Amino acid sequence: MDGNFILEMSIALGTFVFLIDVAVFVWVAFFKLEQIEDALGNSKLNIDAKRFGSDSGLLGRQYRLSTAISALLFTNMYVRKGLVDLNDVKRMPTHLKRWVLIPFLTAGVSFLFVLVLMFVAGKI
Amino acid sequence: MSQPYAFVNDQARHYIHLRDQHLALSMNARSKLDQLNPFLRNGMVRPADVVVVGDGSTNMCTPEETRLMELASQVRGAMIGMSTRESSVMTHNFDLLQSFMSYGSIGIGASTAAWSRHLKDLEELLKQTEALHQRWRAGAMTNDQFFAQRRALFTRMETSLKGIGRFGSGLNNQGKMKQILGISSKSYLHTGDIRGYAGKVRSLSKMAGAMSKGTYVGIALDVGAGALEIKEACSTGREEECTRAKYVETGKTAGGIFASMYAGSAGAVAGQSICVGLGVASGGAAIVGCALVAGAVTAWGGGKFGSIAGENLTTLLHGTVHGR
Repeated sequence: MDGNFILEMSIALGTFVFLIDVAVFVWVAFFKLEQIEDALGNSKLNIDAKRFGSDSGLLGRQYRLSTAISALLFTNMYVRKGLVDLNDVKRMPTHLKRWVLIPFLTAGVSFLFVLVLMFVAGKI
Repeated sequence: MSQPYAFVNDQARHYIHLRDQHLALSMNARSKLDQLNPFLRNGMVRPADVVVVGDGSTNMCTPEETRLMELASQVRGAMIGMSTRESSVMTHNFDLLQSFMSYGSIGIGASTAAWSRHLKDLEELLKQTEALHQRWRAGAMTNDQFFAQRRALFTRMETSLKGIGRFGSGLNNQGKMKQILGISSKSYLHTGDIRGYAGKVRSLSKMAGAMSKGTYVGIALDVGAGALEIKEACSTGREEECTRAKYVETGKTAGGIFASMYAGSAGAVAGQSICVGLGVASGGAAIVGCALVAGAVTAWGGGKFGSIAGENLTTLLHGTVHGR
């Protein structure tokens, strides 16, 4: 098995995983977003996101989900700025956190993985 | 002023002030203005409202004035529910908002080869127009030659901009070519232009909804462009090329859409977190701005990358399945 074949297969596998992750991410944006926002409570960040992102279809949902993700990833920073309530984040059910973070982070890793490998393979 | 005209009010002011001080009309023309602007009379004129100024030579309503009144009332109807601040933002950023609506699909709409070709053609036409203007200014050609050549270029551009052709170009397809290119002043509008304005206000006042549609339009465009490439390969090429195109174009389209969606979201997460972290934004519209700007840029890059990755994946798949 030569190196090129392994490289090609790794890129293909990475792209495939990435596509599945994004499909799950879009599904979460459509079917889990409301639950996630409810769990984040009445924080300023959440209310603003709902105000700007409601009634704007897919783009709005993407924006609202991105806001929830940043609140979960950088909780301490948002708490310090008074945009998120720490207790809300702590009380948020674990399965919801998983729905948000796992597809987002694995998609990010596979995206970077494919990007680096394609660069190595000279495709970009 | 013998010809009736209309203009878009740019800041909130009282109707009486607008009539007596801003427009400084004669007593005769004032009553005509009242008659032509029944919606504005005795109240505040908001930014983005259309004010119709009549033909000073007669007290009767001319057909042209009636048309302008109808359009002004359409604009007013479209703005119901908008606050003064919103309408002010809309008036001052009209071009920006419009291009933003077209670019709502930036990561997606501009990512396919077919679309980039279309945009390159447009760019070439614009360059030719600019070169023509320069030669004319330098005195290298007569007026007749210049106008004839410019008309030919404008006609070609108008054809390219028809229908969905304007998406991603940053140019709108309303009105004459001169207005589209910003060659003439926009502040005072005549019937033809105001009709375009009335149509645009309707869509812009539903900005949020339109923005979301921008995404769907982008997706539809990308899928459509991919389908066109497949059709082209299948009608002109051999069966092998047709099958290959089905794989490759599907991969490119799906990869581009998925990657731009993800990269857009990741950019929005990064954008708003960086803005909050640096203390640039503490909530509200500033955070949305950070998220949108970062999201649009990363969505564009992600779309480009995704279409390459998707193409790569499906080329490999095609090779495996059909034993290239």
